[in-house]
Amino acid sequence: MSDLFAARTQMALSLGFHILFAVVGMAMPALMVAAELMWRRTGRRAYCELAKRWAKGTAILFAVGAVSGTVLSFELGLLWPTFMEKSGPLIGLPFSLEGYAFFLESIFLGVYLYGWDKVRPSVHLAAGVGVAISGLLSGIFVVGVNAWMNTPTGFVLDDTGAFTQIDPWQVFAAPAFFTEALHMALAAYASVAVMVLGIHAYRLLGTPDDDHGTRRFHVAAIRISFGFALVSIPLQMLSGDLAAKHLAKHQPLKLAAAEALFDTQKQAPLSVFGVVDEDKRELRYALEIPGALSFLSFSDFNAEVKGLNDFDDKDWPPVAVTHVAFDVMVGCGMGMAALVGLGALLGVLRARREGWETFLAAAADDKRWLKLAVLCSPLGFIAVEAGWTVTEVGRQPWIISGVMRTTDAVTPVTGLQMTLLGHAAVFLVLGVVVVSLLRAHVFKADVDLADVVTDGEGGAA
Amino acid sequence: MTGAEAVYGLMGLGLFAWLMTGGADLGGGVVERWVPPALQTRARAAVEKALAPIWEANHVWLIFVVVLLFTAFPKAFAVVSVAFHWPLLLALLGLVARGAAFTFRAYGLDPSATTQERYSRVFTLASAGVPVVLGMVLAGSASGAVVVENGRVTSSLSAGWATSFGLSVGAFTLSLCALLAAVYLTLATQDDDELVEVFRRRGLQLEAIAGALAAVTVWRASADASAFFERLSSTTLTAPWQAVTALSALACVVSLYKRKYSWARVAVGAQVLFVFVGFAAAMRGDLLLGAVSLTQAGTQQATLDAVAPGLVVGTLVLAPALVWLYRTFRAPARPTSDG
Repeated sequence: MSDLFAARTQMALSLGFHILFAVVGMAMPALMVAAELMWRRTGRRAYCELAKRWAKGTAILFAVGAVSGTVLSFELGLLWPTFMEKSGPLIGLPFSLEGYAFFLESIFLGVYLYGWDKVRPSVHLAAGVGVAISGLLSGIFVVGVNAWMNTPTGFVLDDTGAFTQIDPWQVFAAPAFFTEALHMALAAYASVAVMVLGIHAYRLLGTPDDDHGTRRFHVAAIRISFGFALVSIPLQMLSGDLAAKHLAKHQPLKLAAAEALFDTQKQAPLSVFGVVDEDKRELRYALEIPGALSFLSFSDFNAEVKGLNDFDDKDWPPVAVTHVAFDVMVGCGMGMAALVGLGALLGVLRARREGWETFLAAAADDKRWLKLAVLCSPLGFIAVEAGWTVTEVGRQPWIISGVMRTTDAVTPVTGLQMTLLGHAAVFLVLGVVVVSLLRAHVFKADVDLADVVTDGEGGAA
Repeated sequence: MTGAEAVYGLMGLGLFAWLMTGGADLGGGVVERWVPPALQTRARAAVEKALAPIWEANHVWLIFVVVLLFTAFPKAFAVVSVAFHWPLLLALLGLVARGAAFTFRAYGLDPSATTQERYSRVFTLASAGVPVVLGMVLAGSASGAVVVENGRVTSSLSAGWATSFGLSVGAFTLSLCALLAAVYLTLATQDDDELVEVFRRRGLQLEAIAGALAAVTVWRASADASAFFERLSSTTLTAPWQAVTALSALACVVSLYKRKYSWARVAVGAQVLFVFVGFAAAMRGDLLLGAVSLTQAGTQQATLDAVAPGLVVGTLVLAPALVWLYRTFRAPARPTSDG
């Protein structure tokens, strides 16, 4: 294994690990606040218990994310010193802002966790909103860095390859920023909602029919997570469309790789899976939807879409990986859309008989749908990993698109294979930490849900 | 003062803040084992209680310093990342191992004594290792042994830090972390007279050890880092800081001796701060002595102009939020129930 490949593998491993926790830090606080809001409104203790349990889970995942984030901040320099030397003055701005957002998030989370009986209810709720907003912002700032790597702005390259006339605020004007940030934020809500939905569906399936307290608890969780999924998943499909149009305009090579489109053509088909042969420059056995790629790219079935052959193959990303990752991402998205679509159908059927307040909980009564939700629970996270693979592998061989190649950015230090092994061990250990913490604090026996039974409408609060 | 100097000062403050919080956490991992066997369980419990809510948050300061370094001094960052690749990697592994061991011990699935003991050992070992290697990195930056030509590191990757000077700075850093922990723990264990006495004694002993290691460091600098040694021993710039450091240490010893623990905490904080200022004074504007100075570190004025308002606004938001957090922690529970 070459040092460059070891460095790339290590970065992929670190980002692939960290993204899971980052996504939870972005989206979970919103679910937690929704649960508290429902409690304040309805007085049902199931929601209160839910808010507390989710807050604990958020805190644990947040803490582990902080550790893997620390690892990443060191890795940027340890693996890619040349990249950081050139781009530090530009991406330092979003990274600094992210630092503040992260710090704020941890402060709000501290107040939220330890302030249940120490601050006024409205202040507590406001702290929760603070966690949700700063968590979302910190994710968006980091995506800003990545968007800049995809479509760099805010500097002029001089003859020596130095960055001159630097303007850091222009990082946020990178053409990729808006679509990427939107797509990532929605991905966070969708994937976390579907995961939470699956976990509670699993627990609900295992709860005896006469254990009303526990059932209410999980149904409350399903109402909220299903609600989030129902809103975020259709929006995510729209933002995916925006992202495709952005790629067609600003990163055509990445789009061509994602679709394994070799020849430039009008009425370009959307190709699903298939076998990529980079040497013969063809995609075999793929399922093709005629004209669909042209339509998705330019809202016109006859539009011309650029193929890989229009570009120097020295600049090609690994086509097969990018293409498969893209299809996996889209496939997972479709799976999630089917899940919420079915849930919505069940909801509408019930709502017509019993009124709209039963809409969100209706699907929870259908055992087959609950089983489907369990099966679908990892789809969002898989889509997130696959989506990042598309954007990162699809940018290769560049670390800063069109400006700096990854080979020129890597550290001159040799023996990176050892470093990779060390980091693999680190992430393995961290993975075990997460599981043991979640088991000890969140998933442990459903304590004290008995009093949830006695809940009436508008009881406590 | 130029913008670059202001950022340099901020980085120093960040490092100081990290040492006072995260560094003390690391020291706690060492001090908890340095108590009579009969008190070990209670000492561990005290450290766990002090760390539990914040063990990861304190290392945010370290990220803050890293981000400022690559934002404002990108060339220095690139050189540091290459020249000190291995000690920085070790520090990173140590931080993760320590956090993991702590978590396993506090909430582990296997509460048996042997497993707990194993986690404790990893916790202490990693806690001790991190300040040592980070101290070695600072020593490396002061050693004058790192050579940079055309922006590339041409000296060996062990240059500067893997020396007796590096080791002595590492040991000195560790002693400061342990000292901070011991002094903090006297305050954190006020309800346990025996423990307070133990930590008070450790504080006094660690002051003696830190003093001795400071002397060793100066002696080793004369051999391994002659340029730094010359600057250290030039009286005008550094002597005043060395004097106030010694005075703060003396104040800490007296406070501990007289059992005025709150005073001891202030004194030990001042002592650490002055050690830092003294180090910066001796560096005289060099980020890597003899290789990269503040003015050659690739600072972009446009970046400072963009980041400065961000830093000001961010701090204006953060400071009251932090005060709010600490007040919330200290506040008594509200009399009304959880509604």
